[in-house]
Amino acid sequence: MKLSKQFIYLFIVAFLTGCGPSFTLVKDERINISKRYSVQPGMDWSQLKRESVTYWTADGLMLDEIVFLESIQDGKTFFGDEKSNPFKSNMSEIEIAELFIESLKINGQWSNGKYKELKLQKFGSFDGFNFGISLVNKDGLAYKGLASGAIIEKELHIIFFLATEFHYYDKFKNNFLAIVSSIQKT
Amino acid sequence: MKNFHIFLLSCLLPLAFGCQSINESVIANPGDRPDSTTTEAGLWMQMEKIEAQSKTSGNRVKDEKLNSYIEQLVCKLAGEYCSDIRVYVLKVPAFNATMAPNGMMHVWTGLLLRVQNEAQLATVLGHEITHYIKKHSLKRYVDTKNKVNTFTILNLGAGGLLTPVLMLGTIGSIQAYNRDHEREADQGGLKLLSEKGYSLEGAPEVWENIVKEQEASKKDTPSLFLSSHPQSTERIQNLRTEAKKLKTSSTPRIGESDYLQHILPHRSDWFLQELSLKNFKEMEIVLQNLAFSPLHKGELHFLKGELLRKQREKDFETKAIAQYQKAIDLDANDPRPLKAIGLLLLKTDQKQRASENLKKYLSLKPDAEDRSIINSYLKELNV
Repeated sequence: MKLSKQFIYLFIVAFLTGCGPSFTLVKDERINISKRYSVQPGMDWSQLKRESVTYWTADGLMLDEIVFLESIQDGKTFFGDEKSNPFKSNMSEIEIAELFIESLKINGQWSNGKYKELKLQKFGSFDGFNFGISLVNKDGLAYKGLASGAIIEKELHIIFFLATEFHYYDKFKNNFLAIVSSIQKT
Repeated sequence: MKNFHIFLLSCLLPLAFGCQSINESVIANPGDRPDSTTTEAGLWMQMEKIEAQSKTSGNRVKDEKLNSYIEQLVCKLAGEYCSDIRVYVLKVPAFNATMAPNGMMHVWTGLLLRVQNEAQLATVLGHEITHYIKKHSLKRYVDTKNKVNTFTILNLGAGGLLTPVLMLGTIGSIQAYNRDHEREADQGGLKLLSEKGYSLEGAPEVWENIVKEQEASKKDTPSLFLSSHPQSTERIQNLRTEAKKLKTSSTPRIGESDYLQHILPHRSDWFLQELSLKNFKEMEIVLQNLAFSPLHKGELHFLKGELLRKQREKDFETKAIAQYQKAIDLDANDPRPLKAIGLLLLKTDQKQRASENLKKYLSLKPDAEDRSIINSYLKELNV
């Protein structure tokens, strides 16, 4: 009887842990993000991978996250959903930034959002762009962020940072900028 | 036999609880803080938490003139209850307004985008104020709690055998009760419109437009506001019938110009925010109902162009550009359609036209946030 109780507890624990997302540790060692480039993390991060989207967070995904969208091909959507418009390799940077915000809104709990200060900027050695992000979730909590990206051989690569405007944006902004500056072609 | 008695007892006890009516005498008057030991106090506490979030919400519309206009309208309709009500205009892209028992009112920009004049807005606000005065949220809260308790105990008593039947009965009963409140709020709202001299035509018009939107979307789920409300066709009919019974002013107020004056500076932003959710069929109806803007005479064509561009249907570029051009023809000083044409033509062989439009965009908006990237496009075009 005692054994079966223990078994039930073990089963419940295993079931509950199995339900949660599985994070792994990313140490501060140079890491390949895709077949195109690598970055230096600069600190330890918790990593969650979902198909071609990789999330890094320090204090939790709701508070801060650095997201890698890898190798988005012509005709594919940013987050693999069916509702968003697809990326086209002949899009201008303005169209990409606009589509990025729309895709976030369609796939997340955002009620309002916009990009700002879009500029051309190198993404490692690639010609790329960067822009600021401003989002408000459905509970009214304001988030800020930054994004950098490039179209490399007709595939879009984007790294973006998103955190609560209060506290967490300032806490991790420089870590994100350091990661972007560390991009190296592989 | 013993089991049968337990079952019977399990059925009768909850029935007794479930059928208990709300003692109206213990419900505080609207605006009065309820005694801390009551159910109502619990509901207030929850609403106060939500209100604390609303005060600092990143979704709040900060335009003081617009906030003040809506507050004054609410005050006019609420009469003696004016000082109880606090209005929060929130930038949320859906048709909705809510009123909590502690006097917190939320007005969403999706509602402001859809109503066409002050009388139509007063229809929805009057409806919400009636919910407040009649204490509907508290009554629903208690009713739902009682019925769910009854369902749970009856279901246990029946050993789960009657779950589907009991569940249907409980949900049906809760919804019927809610619909009765909605009918009462419609009637109360209409009465407030009549007392304050508004056109009573505004009331059915609001629902007619929402029905059109609903039909165009072909969605099974109604909008948030309608989800707990009576069938819209029934509601339109009821409002028309009730309106005939009420006294109307010889010069009923519609308030279109006052309304538009406050809404127009934000309207296109709200429309474009909602358009990015890609509910194109609904947005076509919304666009059809938008009034001409004297601020930007070509705005409706610009928004139509944006709708076509986002829909990305066959030949969308040509169709969108035609709309943007119409917008420019009506208002040569609006930079938005110029930028839109320039960007659409950027990677075509119409480089001269793209360049002209982008240059004119920058000349009309010298402080444009995207000036640097537009300049880089102009350099690339090299024409």
